[in-house]
Amino acid sequence: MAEALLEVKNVKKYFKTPKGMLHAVDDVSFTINKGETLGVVGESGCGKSTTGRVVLRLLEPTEGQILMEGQDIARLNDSQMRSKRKEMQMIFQDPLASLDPRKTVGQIIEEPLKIHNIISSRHERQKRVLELMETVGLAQRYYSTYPHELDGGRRQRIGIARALSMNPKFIVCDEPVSALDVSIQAQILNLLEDLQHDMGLTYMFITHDLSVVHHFSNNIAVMYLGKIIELAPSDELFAHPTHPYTQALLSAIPVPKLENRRERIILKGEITSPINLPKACRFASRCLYAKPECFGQEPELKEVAPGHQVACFLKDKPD
Amino acid sequence: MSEQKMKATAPEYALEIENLEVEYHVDKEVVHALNGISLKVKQGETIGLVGETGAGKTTTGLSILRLIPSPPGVVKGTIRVQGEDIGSLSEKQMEAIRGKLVSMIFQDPMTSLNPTKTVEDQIAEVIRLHEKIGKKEANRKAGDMLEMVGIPRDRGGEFPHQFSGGMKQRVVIAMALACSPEILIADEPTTALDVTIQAQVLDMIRDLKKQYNMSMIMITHDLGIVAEICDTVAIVYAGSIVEYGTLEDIFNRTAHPYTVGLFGSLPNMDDRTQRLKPIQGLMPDPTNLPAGCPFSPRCPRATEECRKAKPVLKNIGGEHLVACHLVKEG
Amino acid sequence: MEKTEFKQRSMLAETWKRLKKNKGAMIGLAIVLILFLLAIFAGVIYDYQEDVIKQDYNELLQGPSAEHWFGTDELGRDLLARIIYGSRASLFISFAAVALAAVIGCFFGAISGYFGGKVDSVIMRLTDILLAIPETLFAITLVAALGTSTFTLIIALAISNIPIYCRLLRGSVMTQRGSEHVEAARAIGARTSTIIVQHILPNCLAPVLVQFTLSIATTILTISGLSFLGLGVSPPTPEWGSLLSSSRSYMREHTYLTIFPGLAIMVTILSLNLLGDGLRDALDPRLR
Repeated sequence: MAEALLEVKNVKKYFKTPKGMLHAVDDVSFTINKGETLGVVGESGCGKSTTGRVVLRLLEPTEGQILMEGQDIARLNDSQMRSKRKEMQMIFQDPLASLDPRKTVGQIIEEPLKIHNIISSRHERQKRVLELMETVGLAQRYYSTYPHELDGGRRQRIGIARALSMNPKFIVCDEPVSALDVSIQAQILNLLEDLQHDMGLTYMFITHDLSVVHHFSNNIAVMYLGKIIELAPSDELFAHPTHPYTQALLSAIPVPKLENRRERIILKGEITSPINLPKACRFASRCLYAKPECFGQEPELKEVAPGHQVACFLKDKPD
Repeated sequence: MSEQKMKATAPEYALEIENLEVEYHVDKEVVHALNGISLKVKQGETIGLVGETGAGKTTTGLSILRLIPSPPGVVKGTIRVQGEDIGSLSEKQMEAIRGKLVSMIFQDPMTSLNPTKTVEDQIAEVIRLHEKIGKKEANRKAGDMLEMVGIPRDRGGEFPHQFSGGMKQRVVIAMALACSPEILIADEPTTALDVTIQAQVLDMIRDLKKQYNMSMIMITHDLGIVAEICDTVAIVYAGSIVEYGTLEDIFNRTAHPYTVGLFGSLPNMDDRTQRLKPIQGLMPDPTNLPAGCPFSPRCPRATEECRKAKPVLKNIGGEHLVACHLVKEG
Repeated sequence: MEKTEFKQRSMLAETWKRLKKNKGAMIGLAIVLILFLLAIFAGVIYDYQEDVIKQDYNELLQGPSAEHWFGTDELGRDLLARIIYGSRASLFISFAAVALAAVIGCFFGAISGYFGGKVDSVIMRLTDILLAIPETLFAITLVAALGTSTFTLIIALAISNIPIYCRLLRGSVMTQRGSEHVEAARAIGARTSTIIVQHILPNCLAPVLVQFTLSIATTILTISGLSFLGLGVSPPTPEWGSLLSSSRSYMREHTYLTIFPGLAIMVTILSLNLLGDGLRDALDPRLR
């Protein structure tokens, strides 16, 4: 039924480090349908941000295909890619760091319009910037203020307006609300939701906050050490988490209510870095149910229910 | 020695704060960080101090340790730790209290540790500041503390950079608990950590608290953590407590519009399609607080009265206090 | 041009507005302007032949007086006239040399910092080589090889200042390159040249400005050293450094001979520093 906008196939991103190859993203595949949101969750160092940047080719993939409406953007040359960026945008985690401190709000939102020569008349351009500011809920009086003069929520609105200025089809949101206070967080999430509805946007939503990702996404991919270990529709994942890591992750969310609390699963140990990995399940050393076979080979993603994929040996067998 | 006396009488409250006001005078402007906060913490109780950036949570914590820099800070009101008014103590007496009677854990474990010293030495140093014991004995005790927070004793000779974020926070906690304080102030202790590590650390804090029967002030913005770990909750807004009560009071009988707004801002885990109900507007500027109720400009139910007079905390049943004109006493 | 109520604040006007608020910087700016005007109009105030280089044996080593405000030197020449004329050589050579060094150094520094890798290694090793040669020694060698002239002097001083700017800019560019706002610029499809010129360089300017004022100071002193060795500005043309060094023999009895040229150098450097600091702050919209 739904049409795929973005297909990522077997994408890898390795970094050379003094200690060896760092497998930041290791053979990741997923599809995002038009107008939908894929949530990518995981703990720091799991490769979720790197995946977001590779998809936009802000980092060059080591291997793999990134198909945007069927066209492999990994094969585009520099100038083709620059022009393609109009369709694929990003919203950053730290709204202050991602805005040039020496440019005013107007200049920041206007820049993409200038770069891609979307509107050449100065007057028209200003009109469009003010329009965009209204769309994201920024009062016009902030046109010539600097980002540092505003609060976190407004700064993030500038970043969103900049991304929207080119009428993109697809936006990677990298932890767009984790630097904000709870009440402001909700304002920005609602804004992103409205924009998706009004403009038919497709999101890849990267976050460590599971309650936010649950609320926001159609599908969720759980990453661990550079791999997607579970991929399922949002409600399905929360109702039937299948991978032992997903189960632990979900149980660890501090729930702001007193009744119906989940039983906590406390994991031992901490996430390691994906350098010189042995051929084994990456989670095996922390897994509460690990069996000898888990240390011998790596599990592949397999479908356990419609649209629900898990990479775990324990779920293969009927026992 | 006065400490022995204190323990003998064992006051009902580990900590009493009365009408605490903190102002910072900067560049002819006055930042009203705290505007009259009163709080009582029973022995062994854990109270959650909940609020957003700039609400005055950390300032409250620093005031209890008398660590507000002055100038520019101006502190008014009384704070009694184990019945003793810390305002009357000399700086030297205060030093004896910090770390021994009251300890604080800060949000960022990276900046709380000295990068050039082994973790064991750092913990031993705290112990030797407050207890007259030899270096060897102190290091042995430091090793015990490390084991208690789940770090193998033989890693004590390592430096902070050799530890991960979660491990560093454990070291910081071991340091804070080294002299078995009566009151622990935890300022967002797990905000910098990943969820699974946060769960580990919270679990550990809860166990240690029981073991030591400490009183604890948990400063956080996360109502989920409050539900996990606290007995009572104080919701702070713009330097004032707007609602105070037990967990049940706050979570199930929410009264103040701001608290209602905080809950409305959180995604509903049971129904993901439910739209968030954010609080409109922003935190007021602490140099220029609105007249009347500080929340009135953002409050969907504000009336004329709210914009004129600042509401005081009133009891609405049990120990449930609310500062709102719209809530009736009873 | 359209008139709208949302006028973009111009960078220059903004900077000037902020600079005006800084008293120190304004004093610095005033003094620097006066010094430059004096240097430019030195020929109007004094006659070079009559006042600056003509020796007058009736007026040897006179202390400050109404006729000679700064007194006269060991050859009876008016010291004030010589200092004002001397500013021409000192200011012109040092400004030209440092400006040249800053432009070239920043160019290579930016390339080195932005692209990294092999380009960076090559440029950095070259700057290491230059840094290893003492400035004065290098200037002596070059001037000896190419002959004494203002032009060779400028080139020699410029080359030995390049590595400072190169390293300085490389460091700031490397930090800026990794920053999120630069990544954001790439994400909206900006070209590499746009990113360097519009997003990275403006954020790297502050330390360069401060270094600029410091380099002027050291360069004035190096010039004086070279003049002393006979490789800088040759007598009888006055220059601040040579004024200072020739006064040394009379320092005990005729202190003013040392004090006035010294003051001239000090005031110049101080006002340049004040101006540089002020500019650095004024160029940063975050400081207000």
